[in-house]
Amino acid sequence: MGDPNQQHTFDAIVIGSGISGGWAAKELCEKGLKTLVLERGRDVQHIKDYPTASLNPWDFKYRLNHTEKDITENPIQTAYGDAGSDLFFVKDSEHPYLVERPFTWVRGYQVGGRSLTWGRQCYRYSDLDFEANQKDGIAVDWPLRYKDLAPWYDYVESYVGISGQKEDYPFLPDGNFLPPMEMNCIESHFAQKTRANYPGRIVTPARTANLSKGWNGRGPCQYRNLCTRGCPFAGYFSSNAATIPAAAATGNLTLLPDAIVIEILYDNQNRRAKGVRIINAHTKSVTEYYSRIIFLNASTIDSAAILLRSASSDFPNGLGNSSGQVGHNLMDHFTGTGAESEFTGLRDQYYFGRKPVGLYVPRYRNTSPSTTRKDYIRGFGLQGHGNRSEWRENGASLPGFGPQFKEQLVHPGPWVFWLGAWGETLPYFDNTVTLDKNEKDNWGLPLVRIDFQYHDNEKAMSKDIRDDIVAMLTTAGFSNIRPYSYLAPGGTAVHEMGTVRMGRDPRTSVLNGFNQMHDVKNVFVTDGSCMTSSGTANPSLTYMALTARACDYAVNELKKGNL
Amino acid sequence: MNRRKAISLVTLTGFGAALAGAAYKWWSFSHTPDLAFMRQNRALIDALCETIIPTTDTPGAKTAGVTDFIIAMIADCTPRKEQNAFITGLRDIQSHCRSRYDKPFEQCNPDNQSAALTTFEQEAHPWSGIAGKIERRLSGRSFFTILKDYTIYGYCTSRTGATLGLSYVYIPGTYHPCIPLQPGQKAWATS
Repeated sequence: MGDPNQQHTFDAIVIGSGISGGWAAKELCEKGLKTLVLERGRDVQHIKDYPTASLNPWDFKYRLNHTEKDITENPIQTAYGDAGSDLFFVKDSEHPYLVERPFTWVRGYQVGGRSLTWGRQCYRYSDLDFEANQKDGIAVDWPLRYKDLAPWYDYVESYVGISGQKEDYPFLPDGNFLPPMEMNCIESHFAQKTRANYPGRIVTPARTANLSKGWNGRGPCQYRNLCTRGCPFAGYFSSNAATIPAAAATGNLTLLPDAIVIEILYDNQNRRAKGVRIINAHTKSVTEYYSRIIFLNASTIDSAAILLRSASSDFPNGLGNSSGQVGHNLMDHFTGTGAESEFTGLRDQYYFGRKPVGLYVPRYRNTSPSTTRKDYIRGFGLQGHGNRSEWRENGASLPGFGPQFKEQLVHPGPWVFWLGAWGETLPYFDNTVTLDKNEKDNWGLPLVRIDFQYHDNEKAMSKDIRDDIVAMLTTAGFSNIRPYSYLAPGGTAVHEMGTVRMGRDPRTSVLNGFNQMHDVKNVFVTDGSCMTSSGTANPSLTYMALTARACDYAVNELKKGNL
Repeated sequence: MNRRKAISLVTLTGFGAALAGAAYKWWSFSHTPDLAFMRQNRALIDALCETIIPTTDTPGAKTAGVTDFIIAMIADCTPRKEQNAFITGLRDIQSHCRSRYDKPFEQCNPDNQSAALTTFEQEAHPWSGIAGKIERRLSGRSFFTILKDYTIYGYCTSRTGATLGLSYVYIPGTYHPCIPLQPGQKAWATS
């Protein structure tokens, strides 16, 4: 790897090393570009820096619990991490932000970013998603269609390794899958009953970046279900286990951790970005690096903040922001609607191993005239999971204490089954990321202010989801169905999107169909911020495909002399 | 005393009692918990958690080291009102046993220990339904509920409880989605 203390000029700079930044690094390095990857957090090297990965529950002082002090000081870190995975979530107390109403901003400031702790489910978007804005007259049209992205889904899937099952379902395109992580008895029961009673719906094993067999020198999954501590078997895809080592292997990568980007530097003579100015997270020394192209992959909220901070005489409202759209249209998938239930049968069946995912019910609302709702547009996907109730689920509710209680406690109880929704959120101009005018962070950079709320479409959908989940569980013979429905704060799904959106028209969007800035041709933004609508499925696979596609385009443009 | 004066006195007394009650309740939630008392009474906590999960054909909570876990949890991972509920509970069950059996809990025979703990278990569920829910939200968990929750968690996540009481597989290596449950098969310790 190159030495960033000696060298300040590169072919490419990638800002961020999470799931999309890792892909940009791999693709650009493999195409021969000398590439500097800037990461604001500390270095995390595969295996070596996973200190909790192989610990038993009893190796932690409080087992997997948090102290009251931790919960008070770091409410988001402790809500998303446990004693085994806290090290990959930032401390709230060290990274404050401002909100107009509750918004949960979950961050992983380290090499690999949130690719260490992501949910790993990988679903392709379809033209139901890419055509939606145009069809509904909402926001702006996506500047691409499924056929444009399909080869790039193929490309990234063949490298990542996705375990899944082909379904030939029009709104969840199939991919190149490793064998699926099969459903257990209760999940299969739910799948059979649902398919039988709801023609047109499918229930499929979750498609996941956990490896059901060894793949590209990684894995296979060992079924420990401790993914978010980092996997010493490389049983799931992360930047740390896959793309960053692949980039480093080319000899073209320079990785610089602890480098917080203050701003992207703009050359108004050439109307190009010329580099970045960074501040070291520890020494606070300020340095500049230069390159021919820049990939911005700092994550949806931080990428918007970096552009807003990069103001110049040509772009007083932030780099590439002539449209005024940077920081607007923030989306997440809304969660918080679902149900828990029990099943009295199948008591003679169990499982071996700890499967890291459950099942998926892809979108079935507003997909055809017969499924069209009058009260809302778009739809939702359902995720589900079933298991025998064990001490965690039923310990406290078993009556009494003593030998009989213990006997029940240590044997598997009835099956329990959970179903929950990830709902599409529309792009609202008023859901925003801005820079606060007064308050600054530890590095003197303005604090991010988030203003996000759901509206009637999400509320109406949430109500339908609750009713429909209860109906599906009832139909499948579940009992003691306990539905819940509340619109959790934005950010809860950790699927932030939309603040630097793609579109066809420079007047109403920031990026073109290749994630290239309309205004500044050598800057590409390929993290979640580029998303024009949220779709219903987990979005990371789409960021990866868009990134690989944008890298291919950018390098071709460089070769043609257009950048 | 005329009638009006009598009524106002009763009212005032009632009001005063309610105030005193509220003040006591506030104090019982919010005073600095006497963690030293808890740490001095390890033998009592040993006996309590062992009564919840006793040694049978597999080791019980005491052998599994649950007492250390409970003490750590109460000291660092429990809201103040529940810390106080737990420590007050320790004192109460001791005085209950002393007055009824003339011995501290840890020296009572198993039948008396069960009877004493049953008394506290029943007190833990004063009301069902909404009233109980409100009570639990305002007051936090009761002594018995905290004891039982932490004993279960501490036992099932201890080396002894996970590997001998339950079934623990450190690295499964493979996954079988549906297998027949074997007679007497233990539950998996981790999910």
